[in-house]
Amino acid sequence: MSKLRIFLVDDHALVRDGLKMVINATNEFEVVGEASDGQSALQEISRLNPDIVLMDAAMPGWSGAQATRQMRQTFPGLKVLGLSAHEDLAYARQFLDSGACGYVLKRAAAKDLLQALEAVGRGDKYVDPILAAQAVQDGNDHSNRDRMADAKALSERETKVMMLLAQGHSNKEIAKALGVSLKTVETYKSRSMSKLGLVGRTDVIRFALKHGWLRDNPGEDVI
Amino acid sequence: MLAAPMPSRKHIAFKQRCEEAAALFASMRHRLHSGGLEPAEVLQELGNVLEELEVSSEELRVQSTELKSAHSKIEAERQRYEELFEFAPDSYLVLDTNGVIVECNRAAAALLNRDQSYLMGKPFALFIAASDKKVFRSRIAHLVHHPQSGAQLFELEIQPQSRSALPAFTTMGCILDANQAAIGIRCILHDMSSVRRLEKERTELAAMVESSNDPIFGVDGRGIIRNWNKGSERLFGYKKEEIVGKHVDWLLPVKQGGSLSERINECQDHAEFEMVCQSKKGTDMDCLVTVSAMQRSAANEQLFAVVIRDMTQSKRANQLLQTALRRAVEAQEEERQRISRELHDHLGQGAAALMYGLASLSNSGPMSSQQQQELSELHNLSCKLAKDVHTISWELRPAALDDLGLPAALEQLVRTWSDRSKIAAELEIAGVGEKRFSTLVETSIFRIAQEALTNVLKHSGASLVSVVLRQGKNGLLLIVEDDGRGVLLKTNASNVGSQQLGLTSMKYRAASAGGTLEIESSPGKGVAIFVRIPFANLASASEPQA
Repeated sequence: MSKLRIFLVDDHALVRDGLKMVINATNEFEVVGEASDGQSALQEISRLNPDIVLMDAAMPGWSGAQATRQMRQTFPGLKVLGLSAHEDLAYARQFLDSGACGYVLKRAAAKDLLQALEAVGRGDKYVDPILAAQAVQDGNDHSNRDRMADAKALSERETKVMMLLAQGHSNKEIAKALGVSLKTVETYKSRSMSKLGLVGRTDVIRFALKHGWLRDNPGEDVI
Repeated sequence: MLAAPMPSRKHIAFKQRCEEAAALFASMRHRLHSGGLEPAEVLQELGNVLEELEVSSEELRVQSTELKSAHSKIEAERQRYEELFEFAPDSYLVLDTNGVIVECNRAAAALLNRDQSYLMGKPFALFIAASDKKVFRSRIAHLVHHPQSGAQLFELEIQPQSRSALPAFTTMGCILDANQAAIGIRCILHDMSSVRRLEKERTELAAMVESSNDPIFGVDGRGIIRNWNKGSERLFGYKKEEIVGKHVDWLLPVKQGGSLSERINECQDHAEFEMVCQSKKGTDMDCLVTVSAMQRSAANEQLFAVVIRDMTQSKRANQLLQTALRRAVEAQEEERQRISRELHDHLGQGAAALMYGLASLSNSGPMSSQQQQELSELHNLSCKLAKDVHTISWELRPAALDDLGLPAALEQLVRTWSDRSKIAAELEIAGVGEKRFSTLVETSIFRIAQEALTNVLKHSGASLVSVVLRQGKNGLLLIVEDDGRGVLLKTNASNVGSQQLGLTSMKYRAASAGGTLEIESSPGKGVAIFVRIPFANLASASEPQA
C-alpha cells in the first residue's frame, strides 16, 4: 500500500522538522512538501497534489482557517487537518467551519497525531480528545434547558420582572421602573425563577429567548 | 419697713364723734347741775350717742380687718418684688446719692465677683474700670441734681474682682422721696460681653466670606441674588452693584436648559450638584454648586448660601489623568500581548518541535530500556513545557481575544475559570454576532469579566455564576452575577465592600472604554455587576467620553 502524501504548513521550521521526523518514521505517511505560509502553500499544493495538508492555526498572513478556506475552494477534495497550540474549542470550530476535517493539538502525543492523520486519511472527522470533552460538556449544559417550565406559571407582575431581568436590568432599575421596593423585586425574582426552574441570569435570558420576549426588541434598553 | 399707717377717714370721724360725745357729756353734766335738763332727757340723749358710737366702733372693726388683710397682701407683694429683685438675671443695685451700694442682687454679686454681704456699703466706683470712673461720677451727680431728668442709659466698663473687665449696659434712675428729692439711685447692669463676642464673630465671619477666594453669594427664596463676595466677583466678573438684585439664573449660559434657582429652591438643608455657569465675558465654566439653606431670618424669609467651585481646570486635569491612565493600561495590554505572542510563537513552537523530535527519536532504532525510559521522560517534560508556555501565554493575554474576538475569549475564560474553581459557570451571548469591537472595548470587557470572576472565587461562596454578553441597539452589556453570600453595599463608593471587590479598577476599565459599571448586591442575594458601553463607543478606539 502506498503511503499517504502529507504536506506541512507551519511558519516554524523547527516544528516542521519535528513533524517530518515523526511522520516520515512511519510506514503509512510521508511528507512530500512544506511551506511557511498559506499563500506559498497553495502554489506548492497545486504542483504536489498531496492527500492531507497538516495546517498550523496561527501564521503570518493568512491564518490556518483562512488558508484552509482558500485551499478547499481551489481543491474541494483536499483534506486539511488543523494543528494548533490553542486548547480552545473556538479555534477548532473556526478550523472545522472553514472546511478542515480535523483538529489536533500540538501538545498531543505523537501517536495521537498519527491517529488523527489516519482518521482523516480514511475520510473521518477527527477532534482532539481534550477538545471533544469540552464539546460534550457544552452540549450537556445546553441540554438542561429543556427542564424549563411554562411561562404561564408566572403572574403578570412576575412576568414583567423576568422580562426586565432578561433585558439586562439591575434590580434597582426594575424596582424604579415598576415603582416597587428593591426587596419586592428580589422576592419576585427568586419566586419566579424557582417557579420556572431557572438558576442564574443566563437561564433567564435563554428562557426569554425561547419565549420570544427578546426577539421583538433585540437588546431593548440594554444600556 | 412700712411707714406708720395714716389715720383713715373713718378713724378721724370716729375720733370726732368721741370728742363730740365727750363735749355733749360735759355740757349735759353742766345743764344737769344747773337744773336746766331733765334726767330723762339726759338718758335719752346719752342713749343716742352710745348707739352712734357703737355703730362707728363696728365700722372701725370691719375696717381694721380689711386693713390687716391688705397688709398681708402688701407683705406678699413685697416679698415677691424682693425675690424678683434678688433673682433677676440682670444685675440690680441700689446706691445712695454718693454712689455707695445699699442693696444688690445675686446677679450683681456674680457680675462683680463678690459676696452680696461684702458689697453692702462699698462704693460702686470700686468696680468700675479706671477709664470709666469719671463718667460714672458725673452721671450720678447729674441724676442727684436733676432728679426729674429721667433714667440715664450708658455703657460702663465694669471691673469685677480678680476677673477681666467687661462691658455692661447700664440704666440708672433716681429714687425720690415724697418731696421729689433724690434719696438714692437705682442701677441696672446688663452684661454685654456675649453680645459683643457674637457681634465680633459675625463681623469676622462676614469679613471672611467677603474676602474669601471661593465665590460665595446669597440667594433668597425667589432666586434673587442678595449678597455677592469678592470671590464671586473674581470668578464671574460681575461687580456687587451690578449683580445684587438680579435673578440667579442670570449666571447660566443663555441656551442652557434647567434652572439654578429651581435647584437651589429644592434644597432642604444642603445640596451639591454640577452645573455649567457663564461668566460676564461669556466663558462657560463647569461648576460645582454647593447650597446651604440658612435659618430663616426674622422676617421669615428663606435664604440660601451658595458656594461655587470652578471645576473646569480640575476636570481638564482629570481628563488628562484619565487619558494617561488609559494609555498606561493600553501599553500594559500591548506589552502583555507581545510577550504572550512571543512565548506562544517561539517558546511554544520550540517545545512542540522538541516533542516531535523526541518522538521520532524513539522510533529511529533499537534502544536500551534505560534509553527508552529517559527519552520518554524527556518527551513528557517537553509536553509539560508546551502546556506551561500555553497557560502562561493565555494568562498574560488570551490569543483568542485578538484572533477570535470577545465571545470566544469569554467562552474560554468562563470554561477555564469554572474548571479551575469547581464553581458552575454559564455564559450566554446574544445579539453580538461576528462583528468585532474596538480592542479597547474587547479588552476592557474581558478584563472586567476576569476580575469579576476572580472576585466570585475569592469572596462569594457562590455555587453558580452567570455571565451574559448582550448587544442591543443602544450598546453592549456585560453581566456577571453570582448566587453567593453578597455584600452590604453603602451608597458611598469608597467603602470597604467596594474595595474588597476591586471595584475601582473595574470601574476605571469601564470608564476608559467609555462605559459605566454598576454593582448590585445585598446580603444573601449574591453580587451582580453590570457593565454598559454605549453604541457610539463600541467600534472606534476613540477618546473616552468625558
